[in-house]
Amino acid sequence: MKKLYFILKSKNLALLTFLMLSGYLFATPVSDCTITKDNGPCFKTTLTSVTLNDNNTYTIVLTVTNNGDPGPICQELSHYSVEGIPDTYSNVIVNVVSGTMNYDHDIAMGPNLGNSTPFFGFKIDNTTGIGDGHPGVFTVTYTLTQLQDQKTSAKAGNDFQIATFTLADFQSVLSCGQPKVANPTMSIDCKTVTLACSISNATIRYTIGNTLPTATTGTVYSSPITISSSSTINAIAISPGMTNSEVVSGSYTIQQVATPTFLPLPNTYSASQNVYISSSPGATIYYTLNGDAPTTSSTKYISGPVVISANKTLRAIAVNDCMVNSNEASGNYVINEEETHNPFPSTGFASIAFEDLWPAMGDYDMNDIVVDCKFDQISNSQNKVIKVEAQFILRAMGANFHNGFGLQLPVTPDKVSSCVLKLNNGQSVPMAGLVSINSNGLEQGQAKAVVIIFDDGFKVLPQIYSGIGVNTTTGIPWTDTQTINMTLTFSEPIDPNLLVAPYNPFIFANKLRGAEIHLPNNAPTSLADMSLFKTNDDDSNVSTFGTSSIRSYITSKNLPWAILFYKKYDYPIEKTAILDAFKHFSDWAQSGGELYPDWYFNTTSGYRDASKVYIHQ
Amino acid sequence: MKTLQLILILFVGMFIFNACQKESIDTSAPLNPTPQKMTDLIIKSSFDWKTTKTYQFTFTGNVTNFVSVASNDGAIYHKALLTAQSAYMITLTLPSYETKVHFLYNGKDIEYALASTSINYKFN
Repeated sequence: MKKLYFILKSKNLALLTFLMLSGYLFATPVSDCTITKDNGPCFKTTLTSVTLNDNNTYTIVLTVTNNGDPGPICQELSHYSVEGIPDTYSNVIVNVVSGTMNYDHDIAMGPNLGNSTPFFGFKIDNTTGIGDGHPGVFTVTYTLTQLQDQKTSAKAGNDFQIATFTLADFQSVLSCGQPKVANPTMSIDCKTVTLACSISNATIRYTIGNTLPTATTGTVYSSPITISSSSTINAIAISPGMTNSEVVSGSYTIQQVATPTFLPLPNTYSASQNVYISSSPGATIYYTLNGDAPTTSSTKYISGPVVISANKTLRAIAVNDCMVNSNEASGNYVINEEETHNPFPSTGFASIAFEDLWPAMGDYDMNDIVVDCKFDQISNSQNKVIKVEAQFILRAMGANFHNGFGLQLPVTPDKVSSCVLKLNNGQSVPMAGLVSINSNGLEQGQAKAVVIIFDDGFKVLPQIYSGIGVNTTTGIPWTDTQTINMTLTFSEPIDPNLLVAPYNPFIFANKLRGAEIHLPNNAPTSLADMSLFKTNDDDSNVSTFGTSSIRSYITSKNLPWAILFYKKYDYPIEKTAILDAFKHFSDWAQSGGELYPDWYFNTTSGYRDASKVYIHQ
Repeated sequence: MKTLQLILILFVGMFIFNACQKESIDTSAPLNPTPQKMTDLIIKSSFDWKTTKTYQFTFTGNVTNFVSVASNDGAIYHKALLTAQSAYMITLTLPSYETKVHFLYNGKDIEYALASTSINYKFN
């Protein structure tokens, strides 16, 4: 319009008349919506219009103009061609608007144009009457299935006078004069990106990454987009009858939660460690100690610390809903606790001797069962007992009863993870099948942990020779004993004040599991036959069981059925009362243990009648 | 009548005195010096027939180090890690013939007489 205004204002009517006659004024849209480019000094091509058809093809109108200048600079046009992507162009129509141009009305369509060079596009060939002093205007209308860069070539003389229209040129002309769709907006909440457009019926297409969306490519937006990592989102808004919006892009950086850190660091330590885990503020930490990869289903770290008391691999992740999960942190903690060993007795073996006729009194030779034993309580650096190792030797059986021997610990069975009994040669302890043993080595049906060391003494100490029992009768050869090794591992560290060796040892007599015989004032196990109490010579008071003043396994004259000896005990020969074998036994017993505490191991003169004490020959 | 009352009071007093005297007899003396059989023994109902005694030890110290309770000949009855300024309590069963023990701690060897079953020892 500015051009027309200038022409009118200049009153250059001749020029105006020329332009009107040449059709220039009307062939060239008088608006800013056309783009004109030179094909050499005398020809121009104007991209006059680009129209989007209903079938998503485009109708293109080019207007070619010659200014009428004479040769030799401006030679006659011999052909005009438009290059295009194969199979995207069709329906070429040429219309001579002004001048005397002639041409082949069969438009040559590439790529096979009859010469050796493939040509992709179409050509208006054998043109005459335009150029070399013959002004003229013609239009070329054709269909494109997609917009693209296109070369136009006006061959005049030997020159291919080329003008190129870019994709952007086509898009510019296409959209020129139409209302434009407002650019889409983007907003992010946590890891969710919401797209919007102020035009209510606009369609938004988007891409994630480097590829930009177009009116026909990209994902149609229907709901907020969740991104799991830093991303660039590109979006365009399209609405019928409107120019597409610009492509807008938004880059969103999703921060990653800091990798958890452990304090103290994974390392080798001599004691249990309280490990604190930290990460980004607001992050939730999950960890494992069993070697599994941590997930949000793993143990949640709340305030800590994580107590690591044995060799463990600590693995952790930190999570925040608005951030990328942290990398995993992992570390090995090696706990080489300095164990302490607490023996009972301090050296050598202790002995436990039983009479096996309970609830009736026997002959008090205190040799019906003689078991030597020693214990080693192994504690961690917190002084808690983690394991008990013990050795038991059935040294004598002055009886014909097939007696078993067991041990009750003052903890519930679940506190014991395993108890293994082995002979010195590594073989299992021979059993008579009188008891039922759980997989952890404890006896079944017990409220407290009970270990059956052997269920029949004759399986461990066979009677090879004649006489009563084994290793109690003078003159009968000694039968070699076997050592039973016990390794009992607790499932959790135990207070050492609970575990006072030798705990609660007992025998059960004559293959009767319920006929338990314990040290005086020790409690029976869950499998004891309670009906036997207070029968025959037993003067137990069942009502005191479970109290600190328990009275059990004692006669009305306060005589016991079992005695624990801190040192190895030389027992009387068969059918000789302990009273007769040891000269100060009575003094010790009647003094309440105050006199002659060495009565059983002192071998000096006056302490024992050597003829009545069994000597291992 | 007063004479009779006085005699009665003296009689009752003598009875009570003798009863008290009986209670103060050394209980460690054998009650039956010549028992012929087990049932001749006179055993106090409180006797538990143990050849051991149970002691309650409480240790405190200024440095974290191991503390041991040992016999006179060096046999270890118990060993534990004593944390500085933190009391460590442990119940130990020692042979009843033992009259003294040694506390081994931080390079020290302290002989200690077992005069009581409850022992509270603070290392300087």
